[in-house]
Amino acid sequence: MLQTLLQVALTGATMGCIYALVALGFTLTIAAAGVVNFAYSEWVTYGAYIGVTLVAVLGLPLWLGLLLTVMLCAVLGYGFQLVVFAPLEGKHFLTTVSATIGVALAMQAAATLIWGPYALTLPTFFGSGSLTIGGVALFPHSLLIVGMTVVLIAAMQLALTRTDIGLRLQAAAQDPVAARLMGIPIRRMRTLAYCLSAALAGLAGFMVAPLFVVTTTMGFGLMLKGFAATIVGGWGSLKGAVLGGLAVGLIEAFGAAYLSSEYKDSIAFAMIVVVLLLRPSGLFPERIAEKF
Amino acid sequence: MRIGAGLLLLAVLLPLFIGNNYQLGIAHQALILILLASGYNLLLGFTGLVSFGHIALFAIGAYTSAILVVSYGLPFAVGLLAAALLTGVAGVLIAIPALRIKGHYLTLLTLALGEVIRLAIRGMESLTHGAAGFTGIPRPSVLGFTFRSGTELYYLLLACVVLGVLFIARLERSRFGRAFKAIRDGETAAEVCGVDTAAMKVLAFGLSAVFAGVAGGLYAHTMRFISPEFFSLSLTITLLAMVLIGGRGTVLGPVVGAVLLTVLPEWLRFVKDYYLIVFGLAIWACTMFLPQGLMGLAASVVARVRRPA
Amino acid sequence: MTALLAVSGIRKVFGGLTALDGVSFSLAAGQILGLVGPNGSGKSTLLNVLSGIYTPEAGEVHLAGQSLRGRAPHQIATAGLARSFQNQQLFAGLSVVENVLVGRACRLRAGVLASIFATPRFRREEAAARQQAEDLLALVGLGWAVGASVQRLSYGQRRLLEIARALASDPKVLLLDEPCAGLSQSEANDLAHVITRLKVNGLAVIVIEHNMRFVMGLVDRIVALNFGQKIGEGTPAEIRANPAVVAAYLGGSGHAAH
Repeated sequence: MLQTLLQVALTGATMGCIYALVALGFTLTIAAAGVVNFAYSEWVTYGAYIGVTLVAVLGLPLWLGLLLTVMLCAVLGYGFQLVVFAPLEGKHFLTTVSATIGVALAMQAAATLIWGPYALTLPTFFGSGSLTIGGVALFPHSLLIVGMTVVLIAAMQLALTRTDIGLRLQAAAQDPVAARLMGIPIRRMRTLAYCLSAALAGLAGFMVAPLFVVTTTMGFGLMLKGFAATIVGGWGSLKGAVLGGLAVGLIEAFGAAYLSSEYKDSIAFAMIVVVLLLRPSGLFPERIAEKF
Repeated sequence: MRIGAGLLLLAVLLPLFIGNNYQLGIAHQALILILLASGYNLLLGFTGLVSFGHIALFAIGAYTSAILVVSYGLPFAVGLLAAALLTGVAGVLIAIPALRIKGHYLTLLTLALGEVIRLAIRGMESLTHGAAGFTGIPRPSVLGFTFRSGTELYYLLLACVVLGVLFIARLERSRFGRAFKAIRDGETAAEVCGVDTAAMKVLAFGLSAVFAGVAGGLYAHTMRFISPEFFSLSLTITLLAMVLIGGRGTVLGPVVGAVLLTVLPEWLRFVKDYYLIVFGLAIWACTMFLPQGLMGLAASVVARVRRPA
Repeated sequence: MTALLAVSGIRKVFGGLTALDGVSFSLAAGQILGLVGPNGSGKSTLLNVLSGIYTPEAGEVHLAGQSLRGRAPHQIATAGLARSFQNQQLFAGLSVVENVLVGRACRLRAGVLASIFATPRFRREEAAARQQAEDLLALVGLGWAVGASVQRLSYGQRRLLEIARALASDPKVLLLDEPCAGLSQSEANDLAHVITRLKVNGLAVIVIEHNMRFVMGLVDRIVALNFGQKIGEGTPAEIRANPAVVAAYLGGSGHAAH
């Protein structure tokens, strides 16, 4: 009984961390530029595929593969800034959303052409074995995901609040007009946000790949969970994205274990609906000073 | 007006040039999607409300008619009417939270609602036959006449499309059309000008849902088979692209968009895997270079010709 | 004198900042009231409260004896209060005449089916509304632009269009938020002329304007605000001699010397 409970909690926490990573990157562009990026799914997918290519095809060591994947994804984010976000800045949100949907479709189809229609796999750092402690199966890779997420979030928090560039990024996000008057280069700050966002997506894709298989649609499902985390946590709040991701992961795992696994995929959607109807500001909203 | 009449003439004569049932089937699909996209345009193009759950209403319409006609033996006309009513009610129910929720929130709420409805349809196996799909739906029949041949069915669908497009054209020139566009261009200003924005939004949701319901009912009886997989997010994206590429907020935009995006994949069969890449990039290019869509482009060309520099 | 518009004890707070504090005044039919005060004194907030965009924490607005408490902006418009905006709020996707017709929305009754089938009643109503819209456009000097798109109008012409749109609902009270901004001197004179003509027909007007020549020549009475409080009320001559008002302007941002 307790073992099952722990097992489910661990599964939920692992997925929650993945969702948190996904939601974090997704929220970054919302916070920095007010942009909802429907191509985020493809950033995650490409992260996994680039990882597979580097590790399984080119034979690079995993750690190097991870590093290069994250860097290549950051470049991808920069490319998006050039062809999608910068030209459409200030346009109606439907325009940006449609543009990202279009590019996402093209990228997904291109992935099928490049990597084929069949599922690929990525090895873990620790092989496929699992430890058993007190009747609870522990996958070392899951622990790595949890640990990595915690370290990463702590690092981001520090970078945003303690470093000069982090403070500028925050200023640019909160009040672009005032920040511009203070001489902060808004465009460059937004570019940084897109690159960071894509790097996080790539990291999430690379890390989640060994848990499942790599397919052209893997990113889409994760992005939907990222939506849910963003809504549950509070729109545009980085802290909310992390807590929301954990909440979605845990509720989904417990719902699947104790209610019905058939409806597992609807749980995240139901959470979006319920939270938006009852508490549109999310469960963990960031306090933003009310402006007169 | 003249473009519309020209398109209608083409549409009436089209079966004379269509050789086989396969091509006629494509034409059926295009007509149903015109109806669906035109209704979606009421919401997206006229009123500026970005819903990503519209396909769920289409699904509700299709399943309502299929269940009533097949499982309960009711006539087609009753099934279609019930589909229109039930989706209309569903549309109004979605509109109520939409009054408080705006922009991105509304988009994500409707996306989630749409998926919940689709998964619920899949889950209610005793009623909908679940993931296996609903088979054996009869062809439409009205007052003892069954639209059995492809050509007969074509003209039934065309009649529905003509009525639907005329409905929207008339609505556009009334206080309702003006109110919808005013909400799109400035909600607070519209409200202060005396437009009951809440009532108008509910109306826009309700009417666009009725269009989806009728289109869904017609789809079920045309294809004779429906399954939850068909009503997925990718159809939502196709629908969005039809309205955007055709020209949102214009009467004929969705008509042009729906025809184009139904026929093009057939013509471009030889490029197969590349089609989706082209399609995706076309949506992107449209947002960059053709923000008002093809009909918007046509309107500005006409304006330039009439007023030479 | 019976008050057409009675405003009493309006208080509006934004997150701890008091934007309006117990503002009261009244207005009779055919009167023009100027609302003056330094930037941030609460003038625009007051108009937003009157038109229902903001809900006040305290106070009451009566229009022709009816309380406007708890009414939505469109209901207030229907009750007979129309306005123009400081930052222009035209409907960019509608033609000039259609913009005016939206202003008529609350007076049109045709239902969806009547509109679809173009019943005689619908046609009569539409024709009358269109005629009125064209007359209003002619009144503000935009008769030439009926079918044009809003984008073809100059800044000043857009202001005039906003006023025509506001008049389309046959209001009893018209609120104008800086109507002269962007207008040339001759356009401003024309506008003053239009407002005077409407006044003769019994329209009450509240106008916020920094152009003092425009205000002093046009209005019957002035209400002066500072830090959300009414610091003076009277004829233009009385306000000019009011020490509190003079002090507010001299101590404030110095807008008086136009």
